Amino acid sequence: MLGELIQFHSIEELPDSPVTLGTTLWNPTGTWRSVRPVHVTRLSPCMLGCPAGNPIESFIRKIEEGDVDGALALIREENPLPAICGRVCFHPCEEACNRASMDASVAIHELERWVADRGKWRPTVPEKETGKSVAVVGSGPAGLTAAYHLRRLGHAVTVFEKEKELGGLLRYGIPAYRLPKDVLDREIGFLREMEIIFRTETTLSESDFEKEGFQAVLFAVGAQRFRDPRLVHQEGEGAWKALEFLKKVNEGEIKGLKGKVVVIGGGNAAIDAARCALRLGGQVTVAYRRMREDMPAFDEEVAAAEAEGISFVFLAVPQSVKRDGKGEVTGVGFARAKAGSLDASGRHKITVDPHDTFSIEADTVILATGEEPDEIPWQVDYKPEATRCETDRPGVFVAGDVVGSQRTVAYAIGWGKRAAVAIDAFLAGKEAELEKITLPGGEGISMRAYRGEVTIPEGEAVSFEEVNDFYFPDVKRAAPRRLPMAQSVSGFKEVVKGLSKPQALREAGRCFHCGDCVMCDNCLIFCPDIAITRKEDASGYDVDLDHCKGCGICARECPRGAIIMVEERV
Amino acid sequence: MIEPTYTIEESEELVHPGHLACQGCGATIAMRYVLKALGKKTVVVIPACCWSIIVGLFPSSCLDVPLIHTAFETAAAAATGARAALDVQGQEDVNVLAWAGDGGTFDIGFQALSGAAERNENIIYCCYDNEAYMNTGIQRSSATPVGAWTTTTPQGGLEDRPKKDIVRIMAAHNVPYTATANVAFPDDLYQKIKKAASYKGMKFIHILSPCPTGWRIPSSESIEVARLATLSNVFPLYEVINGSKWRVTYIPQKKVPVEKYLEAQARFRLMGEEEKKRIQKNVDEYWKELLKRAKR
Ligand SMILES: Cc1ncc(C[n+]2csc(CCOP(=O)(O)OP(=O)(O)O)c2C)c(N)n1
Ligand SMILES: [Mg+2]
Repeated sequence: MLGELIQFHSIEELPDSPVTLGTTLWNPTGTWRSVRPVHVTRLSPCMLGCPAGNPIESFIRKIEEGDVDGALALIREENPLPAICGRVCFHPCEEACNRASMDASVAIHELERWVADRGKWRPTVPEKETGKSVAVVGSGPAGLTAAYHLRRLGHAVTVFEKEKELGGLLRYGIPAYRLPKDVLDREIGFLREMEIIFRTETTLSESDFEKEGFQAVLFAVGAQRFRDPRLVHQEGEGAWKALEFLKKVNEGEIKGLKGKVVVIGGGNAAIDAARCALRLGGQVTVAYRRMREDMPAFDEEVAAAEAEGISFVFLAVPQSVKRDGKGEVTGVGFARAKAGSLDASGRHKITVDPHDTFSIEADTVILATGEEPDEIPWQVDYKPEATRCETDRPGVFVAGDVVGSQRTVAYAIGWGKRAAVAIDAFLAGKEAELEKITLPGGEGISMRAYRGEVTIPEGEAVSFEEVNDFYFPDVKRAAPRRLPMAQSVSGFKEVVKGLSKPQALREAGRCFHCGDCVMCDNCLIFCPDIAITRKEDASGYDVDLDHCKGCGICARECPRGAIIMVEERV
Repeated sequence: MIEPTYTIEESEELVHPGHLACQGCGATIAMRYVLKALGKKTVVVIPACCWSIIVGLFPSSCLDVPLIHTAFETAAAAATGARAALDVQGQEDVNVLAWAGDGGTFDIGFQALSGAAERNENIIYCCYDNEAYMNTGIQRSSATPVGAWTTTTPQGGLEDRPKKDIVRIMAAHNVPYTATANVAFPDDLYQKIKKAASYKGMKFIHILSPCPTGWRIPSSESIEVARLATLSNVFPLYEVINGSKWRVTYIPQKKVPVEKYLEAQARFRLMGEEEKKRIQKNVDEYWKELLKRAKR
């Protein structure tokens, strides 16, 4: 605000001695400016990294404010399965985290898990019912997520599951030492409380769909179809398909394994199967056709398997299951491969010499050579990666592993959200404006933006160069507590035990809060023109543009890139 | 928790906007926190320097405290007079702040300053150091570091003469309090002024105050560059009590090479690799000696 200029119109008006009569506030030094500072909210890279669209930066801020319940409520606006994600997600958010460029990324997944385990949250039924009814086929992460969001949007939802129990891959694929079944049950319990109807051991025929009065159906049936390596003598006792093996283990039907186990494959199912086989008493070797760095399995999982004593053989291309006269498995025959240059996917190309063979003894073989999308039992056609979840039939939608190639829980959740929006728009006779609610440069969508509760920040996410790392002292990344090794490998108890409260609070404190003003006062403190003041309601800062000279110190000293300098237009 | 947390108390601003400092002026930030620490009961004495312009044209002043403009070489002498006048009136609780540039302190005003220190006058003398005679157009002073370009050392005075060690000189006067400070560390500056005000007698604070115009840096980088000066140990933060008790008040956590500080400023652009190495060596030696003095 400008002050009054004191002027003398005659000698008489001058004071006797030259003394100060007023301030410099009359002087509009703002006219010197060519750029002006603007406090903004910007995207943090972690959120772009999350295919599930978790509100990462803001839930961590809630933790720091001591509001664990608030943090959980915020996550559940977007993601119905935080206790699961916090355990099994391979956290692409952490790869995107700016702090990784300084010391180590924030342990976001551990914080998500901590919030989900500690926070209190109760589901509610929607205030207004739309009267519309949606069928969801498949109760894996994509189906559950879609059901949850459709229900929150006021639709009646029925989930059809062909198996005895709910959860899909979460129940029958992921072993309990990674995801305890009670954690899964608790999350599904919340969905029941929202009056989502679950029908297990049931499939949905086209005629039933009509008869029962559904207006839309979502197929989230997954990708569990066995990709057959066609090995000689592969059929018969002693040779398992990985997912069947994992299902039996998860159902508690396999109580023990004796002798040597060879797992063929290099994906997450291979590692899951291997670590299960080890826990059941087997002596386990994983054989993979390429090199360690080429394995599609997540590195942390491979490292855990190695630490538990599982052996790995690389450049081993399986040829046959060896069986004795009685048909019992005795081993696996391999041809040796040679690693060449890298292919388009960044993995080693291999060449196989069919005459250079070797075998590994085995009493049990587990074939984990990959899975294909399941078939949708209806007459529908759809394109792979159809991000709008549409098929060639109006009202019939697809989501999750059946349509996407990135087959992880976080991606499945992202699919479930997109499907919920697509179906909601379809039921309202509108176009689904998915682009508007997709984080720019990311894959996740924001349900809160869809409901008009928040606006998605524009522009690029804050880069590490824009973070002022001086303001962030080195703090070691929290390492979760773990079950002792001997106990880990002798049963199916959860291996990773999560963070303690002090650990979680310290870890939350490591967050830069990229692009989100936390009112640290730096801009105000370093302003040479005393032109920045705190707003009365503490919701941010005001800039005195009458006097701000546009030096840019505030933007430079903002620890988190939440001030930008905008050119003045003349 | 949400950092950083400053200990600077919430109080009235005694420096007003509308002043005439260039964009990104560090000396202005310095004054802001010194006056915040001293409060309204302060008289400021300013000799010829940038600040005599910054403060504004008659009859305006950007300062909310009384101010005496004085001749270039007389800051300490004029402050002595102001002190005597206040004391005579029984206003012993009013602070007298002499506020001079490096030229007015290291060079032309040095005699008056040394005299006031020797008499242990009850004043606070702050030298805001922008490392040259900036107000008259960037002429070299004895505070200009070796290798820095100025208009009177266009080749970047490269003779191996270290910057005058003003704090050590002042500490050698055995005055109650001498210290260094840096506008990039406003909390440390604020606390030192508070501490200085608690002593009776001569207090001398040497404040590194970046000058974007003279240092040839973008105005936005003013604080960043000043911070690098301390992080690289070029400008260590310390205090000396009674001329004998040395204490380092900030130990950089991650050591920054001097090169990074020099290369951030175009005034050092003419400096060669050999010079940079030599400066690094000097800085390391000085830092070691300082730690020894501080018995760390
Ligand atoms: C006796 C005298 N000589 C020269 C000047 C011109 N003059 C005014 S300000 C100034 C430079 C002051 O330099 P410094 O003390 O470092 O303060 P800065 O301008 O850098 O803030 C000079 C040379 C003067 N006012 N009086
Ligand atoms: Mg100067």
